[in-house]
Amino acid sequence: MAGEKRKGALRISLIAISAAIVAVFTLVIRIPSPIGGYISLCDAAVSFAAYAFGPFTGFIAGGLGTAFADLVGGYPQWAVISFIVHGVEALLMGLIVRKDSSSVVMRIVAAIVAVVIVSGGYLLLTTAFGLTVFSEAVLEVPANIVQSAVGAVIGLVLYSGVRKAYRQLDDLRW
Amino acid sequence: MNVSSYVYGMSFYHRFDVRPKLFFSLVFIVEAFIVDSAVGLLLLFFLPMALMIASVGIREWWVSFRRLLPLLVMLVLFIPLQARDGMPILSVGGVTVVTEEGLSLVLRIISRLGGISMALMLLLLTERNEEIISGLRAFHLPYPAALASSMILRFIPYLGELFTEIRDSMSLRLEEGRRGYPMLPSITALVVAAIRMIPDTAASLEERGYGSAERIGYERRKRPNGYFIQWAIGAIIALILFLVR
Amino acid sequence: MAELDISFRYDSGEEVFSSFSLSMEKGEHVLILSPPGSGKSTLARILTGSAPKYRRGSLSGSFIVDGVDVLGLDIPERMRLIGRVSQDTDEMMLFSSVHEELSFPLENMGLGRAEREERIDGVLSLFGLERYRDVSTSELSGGEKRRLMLAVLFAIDPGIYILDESFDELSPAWRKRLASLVKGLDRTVIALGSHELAEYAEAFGRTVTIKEGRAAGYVGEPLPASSFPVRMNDRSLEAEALIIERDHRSSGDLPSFMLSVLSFSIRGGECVTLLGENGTGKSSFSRVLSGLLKERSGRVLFDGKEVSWRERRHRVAYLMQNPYEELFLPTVGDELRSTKASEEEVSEVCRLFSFDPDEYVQEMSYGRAKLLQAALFYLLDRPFAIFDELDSALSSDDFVAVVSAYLGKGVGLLVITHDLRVSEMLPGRKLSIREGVLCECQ
Repeated sequence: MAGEKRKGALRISLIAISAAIVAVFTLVIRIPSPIGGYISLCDAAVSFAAYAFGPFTGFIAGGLGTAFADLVGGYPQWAVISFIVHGVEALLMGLIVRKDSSSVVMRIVAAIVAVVIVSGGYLLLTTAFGLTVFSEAVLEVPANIVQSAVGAVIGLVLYSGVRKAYRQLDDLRW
Repeated sequence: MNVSSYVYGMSFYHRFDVRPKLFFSLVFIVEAFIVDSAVGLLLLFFLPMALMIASVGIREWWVSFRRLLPLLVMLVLFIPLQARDGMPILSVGGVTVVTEEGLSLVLRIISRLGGISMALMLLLLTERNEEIISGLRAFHLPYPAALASSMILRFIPYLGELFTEIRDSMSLRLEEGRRGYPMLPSITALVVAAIRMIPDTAASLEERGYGSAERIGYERRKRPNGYFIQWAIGAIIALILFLVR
Repeated sequence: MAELDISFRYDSGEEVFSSFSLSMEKGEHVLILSPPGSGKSTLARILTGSAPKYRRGSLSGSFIVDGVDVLGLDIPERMRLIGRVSQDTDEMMLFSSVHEELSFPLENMGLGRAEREERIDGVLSLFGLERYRDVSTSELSGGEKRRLMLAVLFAIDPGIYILDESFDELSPAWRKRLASLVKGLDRTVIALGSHELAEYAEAFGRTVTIKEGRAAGYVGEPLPASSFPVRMNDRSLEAEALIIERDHRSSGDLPSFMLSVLSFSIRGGECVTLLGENGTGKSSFSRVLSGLLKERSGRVLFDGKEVSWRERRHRVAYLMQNPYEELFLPTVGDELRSTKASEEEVSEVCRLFSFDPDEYVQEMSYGRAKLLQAALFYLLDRPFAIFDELDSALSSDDFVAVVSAYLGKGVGLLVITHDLRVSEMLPGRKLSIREGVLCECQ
């Protein structure tokens, strides 16, 4: 009972702050894309959350963070789809890259899964909900592939960098 | 950085209670997926637009609508690619450009996408974020979820500004002749700064009594004047949309 | 009566307290003055319970208040007994609106709506925040955030108030006001500070210090002898007819401010002090000089030549108020080496500022982080430097050491401070901002 109470405050803080990190990466941090235009680093934050905090926190942080970014950034219509896509992305990445068995192969598998989920997820959901035509949705796929692949790699670099600077990182997992 | 879309106002829709507003926004969005008739589609697109203009004015409506526009234009441009084997209504030099089925498919999508987007924008423009969260509590959103949502709204602008500061201070440390800022160190610094706040924030929650047995239960919101009339208006609109679907 | 006797050691490092004991009468106001890194914030965290729960360590001893050992209670159960305002204002801020921030603890105390609103109105007017009731907390300035966190504590009104460096970041007028509020308070108050402030005398009856983990009597700290090195040189930083404009708020009815600087100049090796109230544009002026903000009009010259705003970044070091924003590498050594300084220089700086190169940056106290920030820019060797309220979290000795080190190198210094004592101690010209105009003090 006391143990549960103790975890409660920490869990809420962990979820709120990691979701806010995802939202800020989505809204604020942009880098020039190799295929033109800008890409957002939201997938870097989503995969960081999955690597650092595991599948469950990753799911909530990735889903809530991108949904809040859509809501406050002026694109509320995509909030639900973003929640599902990036939530599932983090969930699967977190499940694949379990704490100690984070071998290179598994990391590559996780990155590929992330790319498939993000590019396929938006394609499937936007057309299934009837919010766009198939041909327009296909047009978005290349950008989503680049964004999620770049994100998965940067997320990994970010994770090892943060872990070095903040030694208590692993204590926050649950 | 501003996380609130709220535009201050005293319009009739501003004065609507948040509960019927939330409920009928949801009903409207669900109905958007079943509406199929011409009248229904027109209503779907233009009703939220009219309400937006009436409550926050043309300028604020345009600021929000402008973000939706590129996608709508894109959809129009894609009309020629839809239902190529349908009934031609526009041909150029013997080549079918637009078919009746293609046109109607795209118009349906535009109306649904536009209607849903504007219904949500309308809600965010006329209600403070705190009120929306508190309204969701009335529909049994669990307390920890409401608390986490409020906290996310506090940390988004904070971390956004922190990133600007970090980027600035990084640029102060660059060698002569170099410009910009180093990307990876900056985002790493941002994440470290954010993560190290987690235990402190948990401590703050508890020091402010989170988890205390004395906490007041859910307090029912006061009902404003005309509360039932608001529900009735919402129900009538929802019913009309359903009947003309 | 409150009887404190504790020993504490962080899991990550050294012992902070060994049989630290202090006894206080009910309603007594005690001031603890000791240098950064001596354990003041740790003490505040131990008393409210967030250490060792959220900052791991081993704690022994007791804190008996009215016959109850507070250390045996879980954190939320201590809420009515003891509360604190943290040194870093953002550390304890939880919500996006001022009203929610104030209402949350009161809801947790089980207070009904009417009583909550009454208390909220009371503390809002006590701390001059009436206008900000529905304003977003992210739009408040540093001083306003500090007042909000004080308002939260005063609204909870626990038996023991802990004020961790709460007088810093407040303007002189608000420091005076807080001192008189504390004086009139019939609760036990423990204030923590790094250096003497004129305002403390009125509000606190007793001053103690922390020596080697134990409480000791405080011996008044004499003003450090003001024999600063003079190494004037030919470099110069000048500004002419500057107009600086900045949007203070994204919403709300407060206007954006303007600052005009007719002429400003500083020589290499010179020390100039800038005094002023909160929100008058001192930080914006610093940002323009260091090239982080673009002026609306006017010119900035180095050694007589005009330079674009981006190029200024390589010439002026700006030590921002929050040190963590400028620190991002794992250890002190990593940070210092990132400046590309030689090993000898790094070890010299470590000796000068007493750093251990293997110390983890994120585990340092706020005050020590500020000192590291000063060491970093010292190694970066910029000809000019701006200290934005650097004195606020350092002991007087450390502050004097930093100023001397920079002046001894021939760096031109602009020191921004709220503290008249600091301004009087420093050599050189004094400036202030009056009604939007930067001018020489008479």
